[in-house]
Amino acid sequence: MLELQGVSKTFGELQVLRGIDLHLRQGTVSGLIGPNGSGKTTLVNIITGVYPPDSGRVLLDGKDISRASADQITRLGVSRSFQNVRIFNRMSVLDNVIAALIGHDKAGLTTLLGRAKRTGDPKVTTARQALKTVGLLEQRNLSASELPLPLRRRLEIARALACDPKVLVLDEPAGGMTPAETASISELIRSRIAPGRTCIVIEHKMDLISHVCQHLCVLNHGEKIAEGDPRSVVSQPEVIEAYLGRV
Amino acid sequence: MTDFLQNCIDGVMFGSGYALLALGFTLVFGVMKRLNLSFGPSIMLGAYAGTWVYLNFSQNALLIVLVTVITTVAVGIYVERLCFWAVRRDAAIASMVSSFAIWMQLEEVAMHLLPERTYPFPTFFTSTVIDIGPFFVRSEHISMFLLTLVLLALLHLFLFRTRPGLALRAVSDNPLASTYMGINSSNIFFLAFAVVSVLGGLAGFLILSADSQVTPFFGLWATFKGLIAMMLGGMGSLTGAILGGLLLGVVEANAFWYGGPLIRDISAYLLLFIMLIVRPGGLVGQRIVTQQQAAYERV
Amino acid sequence: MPNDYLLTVISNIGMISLIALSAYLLLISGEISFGQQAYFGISAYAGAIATTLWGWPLWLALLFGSSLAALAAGFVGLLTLRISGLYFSIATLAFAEMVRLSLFKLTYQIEIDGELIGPNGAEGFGEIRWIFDNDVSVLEYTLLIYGILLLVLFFLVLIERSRLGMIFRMLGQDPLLTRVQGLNPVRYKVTAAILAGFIAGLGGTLYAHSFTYIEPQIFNMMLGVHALAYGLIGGLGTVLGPLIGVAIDIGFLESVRVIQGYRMVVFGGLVALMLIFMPRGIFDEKRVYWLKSIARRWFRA
Repeated sequence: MLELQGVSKTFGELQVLRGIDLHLRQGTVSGLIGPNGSGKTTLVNIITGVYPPDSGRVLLDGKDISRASADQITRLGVSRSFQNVRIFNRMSVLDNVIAALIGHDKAGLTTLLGRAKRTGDPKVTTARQALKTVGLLEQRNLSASELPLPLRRRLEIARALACDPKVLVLDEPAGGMTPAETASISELIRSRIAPGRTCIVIEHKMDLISHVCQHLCVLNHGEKIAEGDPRSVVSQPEVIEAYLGRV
Repeated sequence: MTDFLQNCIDGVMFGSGYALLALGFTLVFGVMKRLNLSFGPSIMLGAYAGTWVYLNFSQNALLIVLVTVITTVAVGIYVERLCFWAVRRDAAIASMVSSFAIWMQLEEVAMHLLPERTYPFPTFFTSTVIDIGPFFVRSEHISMFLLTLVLLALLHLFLFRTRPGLALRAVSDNPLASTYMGINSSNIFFLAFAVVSVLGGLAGFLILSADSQVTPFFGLWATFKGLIAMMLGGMGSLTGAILGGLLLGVVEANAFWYGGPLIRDISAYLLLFIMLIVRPGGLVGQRIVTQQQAAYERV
Repeated sequence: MPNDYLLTVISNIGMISLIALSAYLLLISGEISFGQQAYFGISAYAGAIATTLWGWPLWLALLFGSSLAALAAGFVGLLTLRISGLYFSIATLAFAEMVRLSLFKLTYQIEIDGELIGPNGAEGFGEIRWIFDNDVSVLEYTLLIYGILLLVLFFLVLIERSRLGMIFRMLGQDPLLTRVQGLNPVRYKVTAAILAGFIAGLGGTLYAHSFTYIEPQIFNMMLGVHALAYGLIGGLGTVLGPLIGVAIDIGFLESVRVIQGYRMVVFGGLVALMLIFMPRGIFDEKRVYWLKSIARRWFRA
């Protein structure tokens, strides 16, 4: 499905990622964890084409996408959410999701000049469906800026989900949330989003990770230090050391 | 070749005035990451006040300098409160547009104060031509150049040897961190504007005095020369402002010599346009631009 | 016969609305241009040359002038792709000033009926006689201006409802996020620039033929800051926003005697205050959305 081969990235003097190999299997949820500054978000940015890797390759269905731009990669079927929530603040909740669907239209002249929201447009139905999945259908006509943080995160997920992506990347879906909210979003991911979908979840909260992930990968200082079944991974001494220091 | 070198000498002399104006822009940009397009017009209002005193009351140079500087500072503070302090913290562009609108306002005020096209501005430099080998320099340009150096030294002392200067540099480097150090950044912005206005008032006085007249175009002139010089040299960098000012002076002097006044002005804008496209941070100020870019892309 | 002065003011409003709409189109796509006057000016000169010196009909001259303006705008748009924010604004300002100064150098005169006619640098370009030669009354010309304005408005309303319009607004809020939705910002930024250039261009050619005399000085920054301010005052939530801005400035400030001569003092202050209290104008996105939902409820009841 999605495969990383020896991906490295350097910012100035700082080597953020060193030769990361990663293989995401079809239909599984993989977790990506690691202490702050371990390179998780950089990895996600490389996968989604925000910037290219210095070396190494990213393969989507066997096709090299490491030099493709962010918009091309999105159209190829990789959708994401952001660690610092990014939504279109001056649009309604529903329009935010429709905005994502517009990007997947073919950019012909007639498509471009056609009505964005025709009544009976399948896009509206799809968008409503996505909002329903994350439980935001009631708020669809609110301005997106009026949503509280947990709902914004859900809106981001709905937006990514609406495009029916091959790979769904969730960057800290429970960042800044209370335990109750975290539990609720982790249940949402497990029961309604994950089934049958290839996902990467970046998270600090271990209860969320252990609740939703079938596969776990641990980064530290830009290197992959462990990978495998979540339960066995978190008990490995290197992982404990990376998180807690030498005990 | 002699022509070219002579142009370069002239350019450096003029450029020192540009550098002073650019320092005003660069200090505000360095500290607030915003552009104050009203800088030129506020200096012009100061100069108009100076001229008004000169025409009506007294020919005392010190008094006129004082009036010019005080008026410039007063207008500067008005601009700061209205376009910068009151505008939301994250709205750098709004501040720029706002200062652009206030520019037009200040120009009209100036027109009403002194409705004629040109007014004499007191000259305190005697004008003689000094020969150095095959080249010549005008004495008032030398005095201006030297005074610019003095002002620069004073500014440097202020920034690097005093506590308010340190606070200013701290806010410029990292506003959030300096807030946690107990620095009130709002006060620092105010201080930056005051310092910049003093500098601007003095610069205006020097430049106009060498020109011995003030016209309603001075506001536009000062804003653009300062802005272009800063953007050429480097956004928010002191060295950049000086480099940019000198570069602009040299380019303009040559363009004027080979092409006339119109070509000179066009070449200045062309230089700015090209620099913005190729290297928006200017010669030495790319750091700020990359930082802003990185902050935006931190996702 | 209606009052000619009044008609001039009204036709003025129409032409200035066009440049305001052009600045508005860029504003909603997130770029603040200080330089729309350049395209207004390019088209004014090109259109006037086409009718006066080459004897073209007005509609063709309009198309020619505006296309040239759109071309220039597209060119600048391509060059400035990598920069945004204040760098973009200053770059457009520098370009506009370059154009204005270059017009001082533009001399292209042809002898017509024993008289040298055509742009002549700082002397300007007079004798743009299309209106007189074709016996068009002030009223008819005003109607023409408003016909074109209506067409442009209709077109812009279509755009606002279209995918393209939505993409413009997405770009205006977060270019990076737009990119991650699978849209290539480059293409749409340039599209917005070209459309805006064309609309400003329409205003320019109309302006030249309405006033019969143009000079480089007309296309200075004052025009640019007005064009920009109209949208910021009227509001960025609807196409009507810039028109409301124009109406407030020309209709209201021009007619109130007390502020004659202090118009820029009031106008500049108004813009500054608006930016503090209503940064996206009177009819911003929120208010427009609210009004629409009220209207919808009324419609149903």
